[in-house]
Amino acid sequence: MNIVPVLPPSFTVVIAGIGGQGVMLASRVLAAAGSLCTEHVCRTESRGLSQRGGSVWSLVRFGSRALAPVSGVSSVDLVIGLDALEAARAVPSLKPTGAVVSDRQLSAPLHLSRGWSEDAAEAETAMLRERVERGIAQAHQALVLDAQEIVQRLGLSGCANTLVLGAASALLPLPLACLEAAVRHCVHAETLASNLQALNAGAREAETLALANATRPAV
Amino acid sequence: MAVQEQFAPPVPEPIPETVHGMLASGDEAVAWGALDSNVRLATGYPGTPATDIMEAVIRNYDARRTRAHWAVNEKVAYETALAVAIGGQRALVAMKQVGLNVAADAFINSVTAGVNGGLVLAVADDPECHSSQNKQDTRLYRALSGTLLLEPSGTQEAYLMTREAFRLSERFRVPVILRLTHRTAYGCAPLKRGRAAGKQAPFAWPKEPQRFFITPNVSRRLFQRLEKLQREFGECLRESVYFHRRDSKEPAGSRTGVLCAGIGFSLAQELLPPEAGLLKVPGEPFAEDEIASFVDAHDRLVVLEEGEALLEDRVRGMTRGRKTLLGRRTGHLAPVGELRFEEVDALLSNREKPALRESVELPPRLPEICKPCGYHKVFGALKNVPGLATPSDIGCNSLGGLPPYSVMDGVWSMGSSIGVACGLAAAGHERVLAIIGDSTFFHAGLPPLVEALHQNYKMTVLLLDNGTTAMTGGQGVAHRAAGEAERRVDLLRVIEALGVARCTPFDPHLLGLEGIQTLVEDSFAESGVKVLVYRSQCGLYSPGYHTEKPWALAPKRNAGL
Repeated sequence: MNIVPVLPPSFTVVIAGIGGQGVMLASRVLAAAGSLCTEHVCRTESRGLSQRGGSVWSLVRFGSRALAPVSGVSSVDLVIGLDALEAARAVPSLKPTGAVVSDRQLSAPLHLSRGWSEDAAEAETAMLRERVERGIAQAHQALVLDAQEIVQRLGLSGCANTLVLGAASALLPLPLACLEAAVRHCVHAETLASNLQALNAGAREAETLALANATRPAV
Repeated sequence: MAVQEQFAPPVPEPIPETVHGMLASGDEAVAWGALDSNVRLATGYPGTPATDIMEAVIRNYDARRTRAHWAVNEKVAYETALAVAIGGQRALVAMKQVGLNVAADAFINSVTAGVNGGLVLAVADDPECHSSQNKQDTRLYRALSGTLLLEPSGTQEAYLMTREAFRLSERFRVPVILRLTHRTAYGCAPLKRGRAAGKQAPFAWPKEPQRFFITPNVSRRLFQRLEKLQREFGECLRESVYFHRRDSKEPAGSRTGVLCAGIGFSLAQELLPPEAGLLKVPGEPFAEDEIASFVDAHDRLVVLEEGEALLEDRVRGMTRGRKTLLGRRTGHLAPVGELRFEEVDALLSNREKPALRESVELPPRLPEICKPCGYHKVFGALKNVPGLATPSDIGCNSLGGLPPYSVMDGVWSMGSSIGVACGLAAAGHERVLAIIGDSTFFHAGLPPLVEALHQNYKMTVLLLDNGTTAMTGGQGVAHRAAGEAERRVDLLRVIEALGVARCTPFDPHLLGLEGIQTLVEDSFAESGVKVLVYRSQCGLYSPGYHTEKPWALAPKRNAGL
C-alpha cells in the first residue's frame, strides 16, 4: 500500500502518557517525520512537575500553515496515548472528526490505590477503566491496542511507544516510510533494529484491528 | 542608515542539527543567540519555564570564550552579569518570572546608570501557572524600570532577538529584557543560526562615580536621560525588522485589525484571513502613534497578548468607544491565563466556539515523590507528629504538601519557610517546623535564619539536603563542587558557625520513620533554633550523596526510540 496521503494545511497530534514512557522521544520522531514531508513543523511539551510521575503530553503540528505550537479544545486531529487514562484525558482537545490511538494499558494514579485494601483498589481501578473507556469512546474514531502485550511477545520491551506510533501511522497523513526515515534519524544504532520492528508491528496491528472492525457483523 | 544596519538580521546559515527536524525550543534559541553573540558570561537560577536557557548554554559553551554557571540566586546572578557588562563585555542572565522578584532590586537600580557592554536579561513568564505560584507579567517590570523589552513570537525570533538585544543594549547602554512566555520558551521549531559575532572588546572596569554611584543627584540627572530614551526605544522598535503591519483590505465599516505580541503573532499568522489587518508589537515601549493610526484604520479590533491586558488597555484608550474592541477585558478571550487556540480561532475566523463534548470525570495524576526517595520517610514521620505548624518551601520538598502525606501548611516564596516560621514563633507558636531544601536554603534561607537566631526564636528547621536542585532537573548547589573550577561551601559549618542551639545531620534511611519522628519531637523540648539536616541522595541527580548503601533509580528513560 504505497498511497501517499493528502496533507491538510495543518495536522495536530497530542501524544499523552506518563513520565518515563517515552512521550518526548515519540514526539521528536513524529516532528522529524513531519519535517521530512511538510513545510512547517512545530512542537511543544508539558514541563515542570511532569518528571515526578505526573501526566506528560507533547504537541506536534505539521503542514503548510502549522505555525503556532498551541492547541486547545476541539483543535487536535489525533491523540496518541501511551496510557489509556492519559489518552482519555486528552480527548476533549479533539476535533469532532478526531481520532484516538492508544495502548490499552491503564495505570491508576498512585494516590487512588495507596492505603486501601487490594479489593477496594481493584474495584476502584475497574470503575476507572469504565470511565476511561467512556472517555475514549467520545472520539470520532478509536483504535485501542495491547501495545505492552505485543512488545513483550515480540521481545521488544521498552519499544511500546514506537509500536503505538506505528499503529497511529494508519491515521496520520504521513506515509509509513516517512516515519521509518524519522526513526532512523532519531534513534541510536543499538536500538534501531528493534524500534523499526516495533514501528512496523504497530502498523500491522492497526491494519488487523481495522479489518476486524470492518468484518465484524452488525449487531 | 546606521539604524538600518543595526537591525540587519544576520544571514541565516542552517546548521546540520536543524536539517531533519531537530527542532529547537525558544529557550535553546536564546542560548544559541547569546553564544553566537560571543557572551563573556552566562548565569541564572533554575526555574520552569526558563531553566532550559542556561541548560542549553552549559551544554554548548566554549570555555575559552564564555564562563557559564548556575548562580546561588537570581539577584547574585544579575549583579554578576551586570559587572561584566559595565566592564564593556556581553553577559546573559536567565530566570523565571518570579525569579525577577528576587533580582528586582538589583535590576531596577541598574537601569539608570546602565551598562557599556550588552546585558540581556532573559525572563520566561508562566501566564497559565503551569509550574509557578503566580502569572506575573514581566512587561510590568519593564514599565517600572524604564528599560527596553523585546518579545519574540517563536524560536527563530527568539534567536534573532537575543542577538538584537545585545546590540541594542550596547547602543542605548541599558540592560535589555527578553521576555518569553511558557509557549515561546518551550515551543519548538526549526532554528537557523547566523554567523557568530567577532571578538569582543577587552574587559575594562570604568571609574565613573558620577554615573555609577547613584546618589540622589546622580539619579535625577540619569532619569532625564532615561526619559528621553523612551521615545527612541519606541522608534527603534518601529524601525526594526521584527515590527510588522498590514492594514485590512476589507470594506470600510467591517475592517478587522489584530494587534498582537509574542505567541499571539504566531497564532494570528496561522489563523487570520489574509485580507484582515495585523499589527505586531515586537517589544515595549512601542511607538504610541503607530498603534493609534492602526486603531484609526480599523473598525473591529482584536488584541492577542499573553499575561496582563496591557496592550488591550492602551488600545481601549485610543478607541474612545468608537470601535469594537475584543479581548480579555471584554470576555471574548479568557480573562487570565494563556491564549486559548479555540477562542482565538473563533474570534479571528468569526466562527462559533466549538461545542464541548460530554465530560467524563477523570482523576488527576499528581506529581509524586520518587519511590525510593528518603522524603517518604520524612513526610511519613511528620504525619505522626501532632500539633505542628509547617511552613514549607519551593522544590521537591513541596511534594510533601500533596496526597498521600499533606503535611505542609503552606508554601509562599523562595526561603519563606524560615521567614514565616519567624512570624509563627513571634506569635508564640510552640511547635514551629520550617521545611526547606538545600538549594533554596542557600538561595534565600540564610537571612531569615540569621533573623531567627538574632531574635532567639524557638523553632526547628528541617533542612532537606539532597545535594542537588532536584525539581528543576538536578542543577548544582553551593555545597557541592562541579569540577575543578568550583569550591565547596560547607553547609554544616555555615549553620554551626551561626550559633544554632543544635545542628543534627541524619540519614533518613538509617534513622527510619520512627527515629525521625523522635528526632523532630525531641527538638521541641529545647529552646532556640534547632536545625535538623536530612542528608541523603537524590536517586535521579545525586546518586551516592551521603548514602551508605547507594542505590540508583532505575533509568526512567524508555529503551524505545
